[in-house]
Amino acid sequence: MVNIVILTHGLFGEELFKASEMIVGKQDRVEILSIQDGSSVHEIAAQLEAIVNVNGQYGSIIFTDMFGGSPSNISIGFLDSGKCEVVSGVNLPMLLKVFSLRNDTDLSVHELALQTAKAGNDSIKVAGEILHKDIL
Amino acid sequence: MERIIFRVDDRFIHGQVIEGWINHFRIKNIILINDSIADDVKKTFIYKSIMPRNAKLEVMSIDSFLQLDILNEYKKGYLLIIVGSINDLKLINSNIPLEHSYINIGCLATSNHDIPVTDNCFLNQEELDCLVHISEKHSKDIYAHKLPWEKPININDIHNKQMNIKKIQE
Repeated sequence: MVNIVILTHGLFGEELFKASEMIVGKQDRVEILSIQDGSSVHEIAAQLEAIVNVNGQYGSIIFTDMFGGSPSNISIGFLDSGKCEVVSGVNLPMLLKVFSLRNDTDLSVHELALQTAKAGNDSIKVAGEILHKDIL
Repeated sequence: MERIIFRVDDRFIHGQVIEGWINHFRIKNIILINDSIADDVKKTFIYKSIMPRNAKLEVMSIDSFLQLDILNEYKKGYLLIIVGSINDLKLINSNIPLEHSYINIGCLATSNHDIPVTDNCFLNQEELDCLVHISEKHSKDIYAHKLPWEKPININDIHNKQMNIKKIQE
């Protein structure tokens, strides 16, 4: 099973993960890392390296909050074809999707990341637009 | 604000730099000076790919920067120059056009450095001395300044505070 790492600014990742477990129940093979004010980028990178290496045989997807932010910049350094993928802009529907899909061993890490990102993108709606198109 | 924003930040380009500085001042030209990133095609690509639209990033080595004629190459508009450490600042400060530059420190979060400046900037004594030296030599104040809308902290004030602490300890 592909391992999941959630690396964000502050406690966003931890709380987001708790929210996802409220919906789909307890999840294994998930690591939460956080960048706080004063966090050393090198220390976070070392923690990430340890996690990605330990789980090397199964592959990892690192979820980050914002493309261009430190969590994402650090993670991209671990991008490794077939073994480690990075998906930015993490949201709740993305986590739900990855937790349900990752048991499917036929999916490569990259394919899993693509499907997860699509679920995240598709979940963003402006309600007024939907109503406007379909009802009004 | 001076036209050239010269920043020391060990995370180089990240959320605070993009939202706080590049977008706030609508900076179109950014130079990242770091030997190891300049030497690494993948890292260079990553930093270029996170630039906001209309902002152009150049990554260069310390040697390349020292040969750059900044004021002639970048005649108009804001220019953001970023290095990753006080030591790199020391190596290149001879080529900073000081009268046009605002020198500021962002994140420097090396865990064993024990002089707190802001919640994400910690220096050791050697780095503090180096900043004070550059500041005095060029009569130029240097600030720790996380975001442009926050109050900057003058490094000389931190230096004076450290001196007072030492006096009290003696």
